[in-house]
Amino acid sequence: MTARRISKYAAGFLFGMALLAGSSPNWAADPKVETKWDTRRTAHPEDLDELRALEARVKAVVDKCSPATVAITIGFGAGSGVIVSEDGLVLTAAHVIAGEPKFDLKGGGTGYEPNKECTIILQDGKKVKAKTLGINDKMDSGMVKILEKGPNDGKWPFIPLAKSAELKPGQWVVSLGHPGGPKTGRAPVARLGQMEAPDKHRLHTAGGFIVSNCTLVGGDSGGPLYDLDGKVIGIHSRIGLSLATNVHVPTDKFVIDWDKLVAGEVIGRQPKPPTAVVGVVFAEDENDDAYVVEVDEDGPAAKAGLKPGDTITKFNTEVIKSVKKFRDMIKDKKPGDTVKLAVRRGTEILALSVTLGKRGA
Amino acid sequence: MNARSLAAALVLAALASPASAQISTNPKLRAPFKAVVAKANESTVRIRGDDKDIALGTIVFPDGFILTKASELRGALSVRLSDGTEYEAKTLATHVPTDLAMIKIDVKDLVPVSFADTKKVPIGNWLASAGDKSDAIAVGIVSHGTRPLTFPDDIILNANRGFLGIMPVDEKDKDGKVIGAKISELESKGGASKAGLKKNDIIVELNGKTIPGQETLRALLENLRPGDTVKLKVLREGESKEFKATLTGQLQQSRGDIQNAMGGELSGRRTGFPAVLQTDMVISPWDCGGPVVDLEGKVLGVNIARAGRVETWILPSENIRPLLAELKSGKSTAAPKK
Repeated sequence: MTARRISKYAAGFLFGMALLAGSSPNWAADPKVETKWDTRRTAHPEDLDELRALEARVKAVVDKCSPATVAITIGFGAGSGVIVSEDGLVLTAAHVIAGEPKFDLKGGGTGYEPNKECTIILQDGKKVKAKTLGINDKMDSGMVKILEKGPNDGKWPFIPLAKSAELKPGQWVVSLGHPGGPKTGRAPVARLGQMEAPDKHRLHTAGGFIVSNCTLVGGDSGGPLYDLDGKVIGIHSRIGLSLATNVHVPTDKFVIDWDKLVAGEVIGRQPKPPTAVVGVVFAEDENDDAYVVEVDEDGPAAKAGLKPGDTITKFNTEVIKSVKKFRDMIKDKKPGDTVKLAVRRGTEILALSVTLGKRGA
Repeated sequence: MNARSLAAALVLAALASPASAQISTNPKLRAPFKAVVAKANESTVRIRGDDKDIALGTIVFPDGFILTKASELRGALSVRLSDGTEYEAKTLATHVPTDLAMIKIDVKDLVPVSFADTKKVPIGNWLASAGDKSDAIAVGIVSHGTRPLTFPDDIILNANRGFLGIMPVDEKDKDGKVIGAKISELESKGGASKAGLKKNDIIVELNGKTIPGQETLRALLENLRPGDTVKLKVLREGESKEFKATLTGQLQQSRGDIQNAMGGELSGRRTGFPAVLQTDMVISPWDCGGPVVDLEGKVLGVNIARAGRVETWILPSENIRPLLAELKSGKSTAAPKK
């Protein structure tokens, strides 16, 4: 179990590259275009007519979807999002509204609580107030709610979702977002690409993400990926080294967690970091043993003799079988409290006395 | 780039997936564009410096006048035409704000381009880069219509220039006249620090040239490269001292810089243009300077910079046309004074 935990931990360092980036036109009439582009087609356009047909469809998607494509600014950063309901529900990435899930040495995870104020910036630059709702940290999905009424009779322009499971490799898709962060006088920036074959990006697709070759960069996070019918199929999450590796949260994952996200639930992250800290980093999965991956060399655990590779098995009189249990135990403690930890090191069991430190010290 | 807009990036180095064909350079997609770029290709040339491909050029007058990206020109220049013949070239004039240069070869009866307006070009239109082969060198879409650049993208600088590793500010005498560039911050790993310069030193000369202020210092460094050594004359507590420093590349990279570097090389001079038409087309820095066309074959401008992971910037026709006469006549324009 130990070796696998380490590699999972390494894989867990997939920080979202932060891409921290309705009016409905007349769909039926693509004027002057003889050939119509089949929106599910995965092959390349083969002649000028097909190029024109694809171009017309892409322009129609950009026109329809730009009014609902937004930028989000919140305390520590900026990203993008998309309005998906007429009362102003916005999909975005968890790391845009919650920051990176940091496995820091000082306490084990930056906390996140919903109902925090943030600002939504519309296509024309207008700013409206919004608040954060729930997140799923594992899938990097997040929701925001606009607090003002929309421009169309109190309603917001919004884009419906399509089933991401129906996407095929090679299917043409359009990305909108705010690369580099929102910029004055710049509407959402469009990129055209195709869905990548999941096998070519197993590192990401194994975790449930989808990959396209629409290039993304910091500021795009949380922004929408659209199919050629002009429906949302993904939300931008992270990138890899290659230009073809642009990773999105599939809409199907949002749908699974929908009610929880709307209700402001925080899936996969501590709501509030504890004030007392022991100064270690655990492996990623909260349900696994309290296996210590790193020890803060200036922290309380180091002073008490804890080493990387140790597994904490008891916290005072409580048996500890998971990181979650350890965190529950430390929540009620104060800096300066002394706790007795039983620690398994190889075949030995050690008893260590730890004086808890202060978070952020 | 706004530092606060970028959260942690991620270089998945060892775990990188195999490079799939990104649409821009995919040969299957480029095939139907052959006819689209055919005419513009006749007006596109390869520019070489010391026998290395450094840029593409756009023929703008029949008697051998070629437009290209000024900041890429170095070494003995030559131009290779689409028929394979090669000629010596000389630079007639450069325009720093647009980073355009007019070069001249001794050949007549070439086919010039004619530039079409970009004002009404919609987001989503196909674009193709003409090149020195029969194919389009890259294809993509209009990511954003022609727009002026805003801070900090409006700053003229070359990221590939040599750096001293200092933060200079203007030093004024008691009458308010600027007399040198004072070091307000020093990077410990930078060339200045390694040479023995200290905080509050005032640089007054670089390689014998007077430095009246930090703007002149930056302008001189624009033309120097990492590894170059410079002679500095410095005032320290009233005393004049001399130092020799070796320039380095940029030491502090923002997260945005790191992310933008993921996926390919960027142009050194990639900011500070008066206006740009933005595309997601992927081109190499040494392929800048050639014409970009729409599906009708109309030339909308020239590729002026590979500006980031998601963007190539095109200098639009509207910003090129007014400069053609003065560049042809040999009139250069330096960076504007702030």
